[in-house]
Amino acid sequence: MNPYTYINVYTVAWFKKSQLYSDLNLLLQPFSLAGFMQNALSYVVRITPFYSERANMKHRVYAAILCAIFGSCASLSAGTISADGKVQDFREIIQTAKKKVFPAVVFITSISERYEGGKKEKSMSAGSGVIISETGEAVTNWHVVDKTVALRILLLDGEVGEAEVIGSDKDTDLALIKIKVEGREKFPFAELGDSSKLTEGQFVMAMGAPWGLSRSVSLGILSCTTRFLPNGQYNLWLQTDASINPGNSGGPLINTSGDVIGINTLGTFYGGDMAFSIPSNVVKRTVSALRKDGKVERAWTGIRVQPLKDFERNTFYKADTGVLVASVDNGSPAEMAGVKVRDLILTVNGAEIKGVNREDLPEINQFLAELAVEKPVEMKVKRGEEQLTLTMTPRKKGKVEGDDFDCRDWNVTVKAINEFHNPTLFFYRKKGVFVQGVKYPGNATNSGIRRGDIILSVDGKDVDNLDELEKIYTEMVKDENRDKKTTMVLLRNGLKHYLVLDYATKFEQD
Amino acid sequence: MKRIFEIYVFTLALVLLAFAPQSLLAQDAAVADAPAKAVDEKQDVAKVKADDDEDDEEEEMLNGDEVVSMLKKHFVRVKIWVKKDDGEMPMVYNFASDLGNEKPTFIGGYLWDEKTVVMEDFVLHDRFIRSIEVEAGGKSVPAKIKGYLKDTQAVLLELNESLPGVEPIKFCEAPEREDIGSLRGVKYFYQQDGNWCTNVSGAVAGFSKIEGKKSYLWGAPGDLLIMPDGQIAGLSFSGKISSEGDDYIWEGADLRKDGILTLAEKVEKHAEIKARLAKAALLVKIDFRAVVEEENQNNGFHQSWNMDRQGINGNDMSEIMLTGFLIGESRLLVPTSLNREMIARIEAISVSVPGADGKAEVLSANFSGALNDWEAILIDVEGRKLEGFLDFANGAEFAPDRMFLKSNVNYWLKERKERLSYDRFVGYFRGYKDMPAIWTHTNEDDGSLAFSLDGKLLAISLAQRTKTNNDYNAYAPQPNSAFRPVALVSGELAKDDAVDLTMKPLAKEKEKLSITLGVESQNLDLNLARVFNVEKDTRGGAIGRLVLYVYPGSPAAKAGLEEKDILLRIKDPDRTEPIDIGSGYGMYGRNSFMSRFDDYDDFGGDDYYGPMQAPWPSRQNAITAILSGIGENKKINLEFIRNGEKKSVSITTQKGRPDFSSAKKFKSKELGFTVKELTYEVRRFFKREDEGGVVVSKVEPGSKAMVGGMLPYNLVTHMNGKPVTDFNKFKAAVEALQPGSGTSVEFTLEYMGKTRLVKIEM
Repeated sequence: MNPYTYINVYTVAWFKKSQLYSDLNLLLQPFSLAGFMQNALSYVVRITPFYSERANMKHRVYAAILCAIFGSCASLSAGTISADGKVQDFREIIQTAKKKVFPAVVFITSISERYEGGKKEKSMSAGSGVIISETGEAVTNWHVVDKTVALRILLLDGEVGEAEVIGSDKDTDLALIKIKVEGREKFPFAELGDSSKLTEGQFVMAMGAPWGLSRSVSLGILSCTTRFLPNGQYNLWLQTDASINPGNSGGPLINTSGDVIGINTLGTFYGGDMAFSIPSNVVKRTVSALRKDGKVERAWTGIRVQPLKDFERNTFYKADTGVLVASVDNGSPAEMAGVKVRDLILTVNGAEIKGVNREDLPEINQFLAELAVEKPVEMKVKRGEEQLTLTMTPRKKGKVEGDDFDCRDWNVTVKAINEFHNPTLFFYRKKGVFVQGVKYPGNATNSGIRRGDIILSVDGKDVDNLDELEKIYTEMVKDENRDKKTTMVLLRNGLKHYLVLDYATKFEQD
Repeated sequence: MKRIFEIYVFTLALVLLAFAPQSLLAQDAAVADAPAKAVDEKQDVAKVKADDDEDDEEEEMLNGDEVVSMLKKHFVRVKIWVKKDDGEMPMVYNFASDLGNEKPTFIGGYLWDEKTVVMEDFVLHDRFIRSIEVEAGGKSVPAKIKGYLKDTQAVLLELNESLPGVEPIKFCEAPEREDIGSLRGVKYFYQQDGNWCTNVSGAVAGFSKIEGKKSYLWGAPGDLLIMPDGQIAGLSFSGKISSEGDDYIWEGADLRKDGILTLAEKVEKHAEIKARLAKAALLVKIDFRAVVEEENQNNGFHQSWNMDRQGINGNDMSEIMLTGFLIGESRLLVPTSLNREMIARIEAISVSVPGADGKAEVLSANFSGALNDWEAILIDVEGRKLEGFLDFANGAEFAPDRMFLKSNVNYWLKERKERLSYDRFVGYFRGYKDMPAIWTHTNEDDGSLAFSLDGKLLAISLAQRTKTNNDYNAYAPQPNSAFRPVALVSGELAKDDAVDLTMKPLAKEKEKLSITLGVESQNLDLNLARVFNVEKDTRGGAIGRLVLYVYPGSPAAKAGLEEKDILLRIKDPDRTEPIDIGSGYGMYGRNSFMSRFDDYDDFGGDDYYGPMQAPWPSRQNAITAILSGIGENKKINLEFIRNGEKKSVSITTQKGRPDFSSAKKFKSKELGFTVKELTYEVRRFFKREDEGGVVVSKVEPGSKAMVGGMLPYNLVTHMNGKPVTDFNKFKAAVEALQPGSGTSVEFTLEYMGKTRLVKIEM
């Protein structure tokens, strides 16, 4: 410790015991004491009027002296004391870390095709990414590059380039893209750190382009390193209070060593400075899969698990190991293996499963997803008092979202029903096509078609998948001679509905 | 307007008769010549100037000018100023429009004696009359009503002073019967263009013989009947002269005193009626149970079955005040248009009778029945015999032109309002179900009682019951309300099937049980009608409903209905015409906007908590509305089209099974959830035809169930690992749970195939 720090520490301790300290603390509630120390003089100016009401001259003098001492000491000794005993200037730490990663941060704008409004429309969105390899591989979020047709990137030094998607994974909301800049072979890149070594309270920085303002950095701490969110089936989240806004998606979260320890993904509008990032270990394993296959292959068992101790739901089961089966999907490998709801899964393939809290669930899901597809595994379950051994053969999870198609003349966009994306529709019809969006004003709206309707048949022909519908549609609009009307049978809330779609009107007046 | 109409009719008659063979009229040889003569002469319209010299062999007949100059001295001009009475407008004659134009109504009158004028009765109650003036010879004097002629449509006015230049009418000897045909009618009246005019016309234009009744001669509505030589033979204000009996002409010469009802007497008689009605027309207050809110119903407002009825139906009224007429010692007849649904919700009926000390006494009454054919209900007062009932069995008969008194008692404004008036009988007409109704001079439906001048009940105003509706048009015309003769009403009340036994107050649980076929259906439109080749049969999709789903075990299933059948019309055994199943109601029957269920996936299921609209269609649609009007246990014929072929099937209507809103429900206060038995549409929606379970309909915020993650529309499939089979067993099991006992209960909840376990500590 240098002398200045010494003075700082001890005077702080003494100061904390004084009446002055407690009064000041009360007055300065919103401000942390560290902040006070950093801006001592300005605070002196500010607090003196408040203080003068209650204090006497003595206190005021003490305040001024203390502030002067603290101020000078603070300016000379500010910073954390690192774990190895070496004291670093906190500002230097920040700068070093930033300098290490900043050049690897890219600003991404994506032109993507949206099907929601009943029409295939291109829209532009922006996000961030971080280059992780010298050759120009960058990591970003899946939702930044979802359905993209053109990606343009901007580097820190102002270089502009294009990118293409190597692979993306919706379940973890990650994507791997390859940047191409003319005349550039090598790119600055950042290292992915070890997110398992993180603890709450560590300083982190978020980089990216909030609200499209590229090349921005914000500072915060890790608020939680094992956050469970319902939309994270296969991973836990890092929660931070670094300022993260729309546009930061896909950008890196770095620690003070300059390692990327997370990819910023979710923010909150009402939570103040509360945002969530995907831990770097998850990024690592996802990226290696994306690099290899362009997607993440997962196994699907059809089991939905529930923790033994759920504080939120006030549901507590007596057991210290195993995980509860909450739900078994119809026709799934688990159902065929004989797994039933309320079973307690103890081991799978010899590995012990422990799902005591909610935070344990993503790991279990990940484990189940990593099982080899089409290879039977042994499960030990406890049903009531019995112990059973079941054999289950997981299958491929497959797509998690159906494809889209724009029936332009009908003013409606359709999508294939997907088990994971549309569970309610899947309940009624396992294979089929549903209406994703209707344009207003439009032919479909006028005829009474609504979002969420499942299309059972068009023109008397059954529609079982998107290809069939595409074929029917294309042939229909090509035929100039036919009456521009077609009979459709829809399934709406489980009940059939017949209507005639009249698509004679042209709503696109180009 | 009446004048012009009469003139028109007369002209038409004249023109027709001019070309009609005379043999048609020659029933009575005595009048065979005279009408021909009269017709011969009168070719022109309205103002006739008969200057013929052809009838030399006849008596000397004066021409029009001569007649007018001779009779002018009897004419007076009556000026009537009317006013509104208590917000009511005088609706007869021209009075309403003259009142609006702020001018008096002019009617011609004739001097009867020095201070009395006789004129046609305009049938307006004196409460609407502000002032009357009579003018003649340049002088105008005030006048007031002296009396009314009981059997002739005439009224006497009393002048304050005598008028110059006019003389009272003098009658000559009555003509012989065979000379009646030569009579002419004279009428003095005011034209709307501001001129006073005298019409002289043939008094007898025709003869009518009504089978089994008196015959009469008819002609121009001349007020004065004159002989060819211009002498006044009699008065006739309605254009009819009796042709049989002695009193075929009312001369007035031997004016019978009891032929006039003076104003004072009228007032007295009205007072008598009022006193009688104080005991016989009583305040009936009906309290209704609050409308059972359809839980989670998407539209948010309560739909009534009869959407096209204005008035009290369809309103969520909690009480109404009506007038009930005492027709027996404890029985009241209450004319009202309450429909089946409102009657089902009747909770209490009370009747206010005048007490001995002048204060009203409130008695409770029971619902006895709703009349099958009439918009009225019968109620019986408990434990008391009341006096002064209206005797429908011993009523009086009407006679043409006869004056009668009307009294209307209503409680629309929550206090007793009596409106007294009078009217004159014109005739009977055959209306509803070919039953006689009364056609009065004013033709006003006062919704009231008619009494003869000697105090006997003549008629009561009743409306026919609208059974079923297929035009869901809020502005459809009201069913006919008209005076029904006493004999008819007492006959109706005595019928065995007078009362519709299926319309009665129901317990809350049973209230919502409607009569259904057991199908889910949708509207057609023009395009769909063409696709199914039923454009003509459904009138371009205006009627007819397409069957989408037939519930197993329902009347429709038993009748063999299938998906894609198009239901066209229902034949009610009680009606002659089948009722078309309209399409109009359909739009309220389906969710008209997005149900929350579509967004359920986006919310991730678990995170959404709050009221959700039911995703299944409401059971109220065009078909159930019609069936509800028809009633239970009726054999109806349903016409439908299948694959282009017309078919029909016979179905016996029965009460529908409970649906979600009327299902048995059970609320666990401890746990904070409400569950309902799975009803047919819920089973269809969740694809649980035969399996057990109960559906959660409500979860209390902050309750144990809410914390445990129960949401509305979750199915509870298992309790403590055992399947839920029966609603009652589930209810018993939950009730048996002891709070604070340290035990826990586990529910398996399912939503759309996904399950979750909820464990609650008691």
